[in-house]
Amino acid sequence: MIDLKDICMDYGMGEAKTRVLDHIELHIEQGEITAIMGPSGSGKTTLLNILGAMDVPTEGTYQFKDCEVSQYGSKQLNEFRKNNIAFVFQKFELIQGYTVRENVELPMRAKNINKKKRKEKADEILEQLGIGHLKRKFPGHISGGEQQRCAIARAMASDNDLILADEPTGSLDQATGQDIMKLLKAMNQKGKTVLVVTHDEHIANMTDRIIRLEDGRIVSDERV
Amino acid sequence: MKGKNHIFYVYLNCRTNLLKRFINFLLLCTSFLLIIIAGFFYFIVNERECAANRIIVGGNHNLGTVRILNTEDKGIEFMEEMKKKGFSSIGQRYFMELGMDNFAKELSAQQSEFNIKKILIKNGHITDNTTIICVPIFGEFLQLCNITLREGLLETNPKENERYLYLGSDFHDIPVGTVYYNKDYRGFSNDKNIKYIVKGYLAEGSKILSDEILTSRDLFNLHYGEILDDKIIMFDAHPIAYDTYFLTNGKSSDEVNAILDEISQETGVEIEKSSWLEVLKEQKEENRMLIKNISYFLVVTIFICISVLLCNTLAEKMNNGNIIGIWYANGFSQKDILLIEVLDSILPILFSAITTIVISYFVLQNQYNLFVEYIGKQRTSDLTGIYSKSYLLLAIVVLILCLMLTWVKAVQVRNRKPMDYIRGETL
Repeated sequence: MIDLKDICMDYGMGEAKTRVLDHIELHIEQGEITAIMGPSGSGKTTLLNILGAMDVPTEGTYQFKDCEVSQYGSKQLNEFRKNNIAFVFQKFELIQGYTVRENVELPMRAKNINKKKRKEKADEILEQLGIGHLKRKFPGHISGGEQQRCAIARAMASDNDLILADEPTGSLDQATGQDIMKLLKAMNQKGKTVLVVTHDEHIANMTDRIIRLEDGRIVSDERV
Repeated sequence: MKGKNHIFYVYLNCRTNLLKRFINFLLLCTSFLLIIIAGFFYFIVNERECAANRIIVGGNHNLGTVRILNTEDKGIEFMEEMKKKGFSSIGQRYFMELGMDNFAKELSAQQSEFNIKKILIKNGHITDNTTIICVPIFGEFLQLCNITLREGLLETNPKENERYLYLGSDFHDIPVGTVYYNKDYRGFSNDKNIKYIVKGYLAEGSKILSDEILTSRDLFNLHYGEILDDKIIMFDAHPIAYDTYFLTNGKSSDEVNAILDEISQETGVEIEKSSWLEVLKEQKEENRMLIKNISYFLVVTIFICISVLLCNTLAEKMNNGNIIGIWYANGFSQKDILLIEVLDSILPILFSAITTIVISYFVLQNQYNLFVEYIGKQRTSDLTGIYSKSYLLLAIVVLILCLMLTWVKAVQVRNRKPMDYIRGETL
C-alpha cells in the first residue's frame, strides 16, 4: 500500500540545514497496524507528516497504492489527503470553537457529504465511541480522553484507508491511553491501515509491527 | 467543498470569536461612520465652492452687489445715477404663495375673479397653493441664473399694467399667450386691472439663484439651484425701492469701487458693496483650510480603521492559527481555505459597511440641524448627491480594505505548508 524509497527530509538552508530523515526505505501493507518509535528528534513525526501529505520530502519517492505522491503538486496533495488520510494528533487538534459534532463533521464537509447523511454518520460514530451525549459540547468542556475519542471519531468519519496517529496517547493517562489504542485497533480490524507514532512500549506492543528510528534512519523493523 | 460550507465556517469563526468580532464590528462601524461624516462635510464644502464657481465662472465675471443702507430720500436719484454709470439692476426677488381663492395670499382681503389655481387644479398640478417668484427685474437676471425656456419668448420688461408669467415645467396645458386679469397683487393700485400673460415655459430643471447669493451674504450657500419646476416666475415692471445691483463687466473691482464711492458721495446715500470675486476668493481660502482639515481627518480615520482591523485580525489569527492546519489535515483544499479566510475577512467589513450606511442615513437625516451651519439651505434633492458621494467614498475604502485583505490572505495561505499551521507557525 505504502512504498517509501530513499526518502530524505532536510530543514533549514545552507549551513543551518539539518537532515531529519535520511534515506528511509519503508513498505507498509494495507490493513497493518504499525508503531513508529524513537527518541525525540529522530524524525518520527516528520515521517508521519510525509506519509500524510502534510509535508513534502526533499528527496525520494512516495508511492501510495498506484499513486506517485512525491510527484504531486499542492492541489493534488490536498485531494490525496482528503480521500486517503485521517489524522489523530497527540494534542487532539480539535477546533475549540466547534462543538464535538461539528469537529467530527469536518472531513465529511470537505467531501461534500449531504447534511442528513453527515449528521447521521457523526451521531452514529459518536455513539459507537461512547461520547454521543457530548455532541453538543465544546472540546474545552470535556476530558482529554473524551477529546481524543472525538479526534478518533473525526478520523473514522473521513472513512479514509490510512490512519496516522501522532502520539495519540501522549496526553492521556495509561488506562485512557489503552482505551484509545483499543479503538485504533478496532479500526484496524475493520480494514484500515494504522500508523502510530509513540514513545510508549506498551502502546507499541499493541501493534503488529514496530519500526524504530534514530537520527532519521530506520534502525529496526520488527513484527510483534 | 460547496459554497454554503464556506459560509458555514465563516459563521463558526464568528461564533468562536464572538466578542472580538463584535468589537471589530463596532470599531468598523464607528470608523465607517466617521468616513461618511467626513465625506459628507468634504463634499458639501466642495459643492458650495462649485456652486459659487458656477455663478462666477458662468460668464458673469466682475459681479457684485450694492445695497442701499440709508437713502435720505435720495434712493431714486442714486439708482438713476447707477444706471447712468452702466450698472445693471437685478432687483430683489421675492416669493408669493398662490392661495385658495385669491391670487396672492398677502392680499387675502381682495377676492379675485382671477383664479389661476382653478386652472392648475383642472390640470392636476397643484394642491393647496403654489409659489410664485416675483422678479421686478430685467433680462440680466435670467442670464445670471442661466434660465432657458422650453417654449415661448423671453420678455422681461412688461408694460405698465402687465405682468409676464413663466410657468415651471410641471405645469402643462396652459397655452402660451393665455391672459388673465386681476388687481395688482401688491395693492399699489387697487383699482387697476393688471394683465397677466403666460409668456412661456421654463426648461425642465431650471434653477434660480438664492436671495443669499443675490445679496452676496453667502456666495457659498448651496441654495443656488433652487429648482423651479413647480413654480412660476413673474416679471414685474415695478422694481421695489431697494434694488440690488450687479456691477458691469469690463471694469476692475478697484475701478468699480471708485465709481460707487463717487456716486455715494455725490448723492449722500450710504451703501454696502461687495464684489463676488473678492468674496469668492476669501471664501475659497477658508474652504481650502476646511477641506485640508477634513482631508487630514479622513486620512487619519482610514488609517485607524485599517490598523484596528489588521491588529484585531492578527490577534485572532495568533490565537487560532492551527485551525487552518486542522482544516488541511481534514481534507480542506487550499482553495477552500483561501475562500473561507477571504470571506471571513470581507463579510464582516461588508456587513459593517451596510449597517453603517443605514445608520448614517438616519443619523444624518435626523441630525440635519447639526449640519445646517455648513449646509445652509441645501435642499434635499441636492443632499442626495452628497449622500451618494459620501457612500461612494466609503465603498472605495471598503473595496481597498477587501482587496488588501484578500491579497494578504492569499499570500498567507499560499506561502505556508499545512504543517506550518499545525506547528503554529502561522505568521
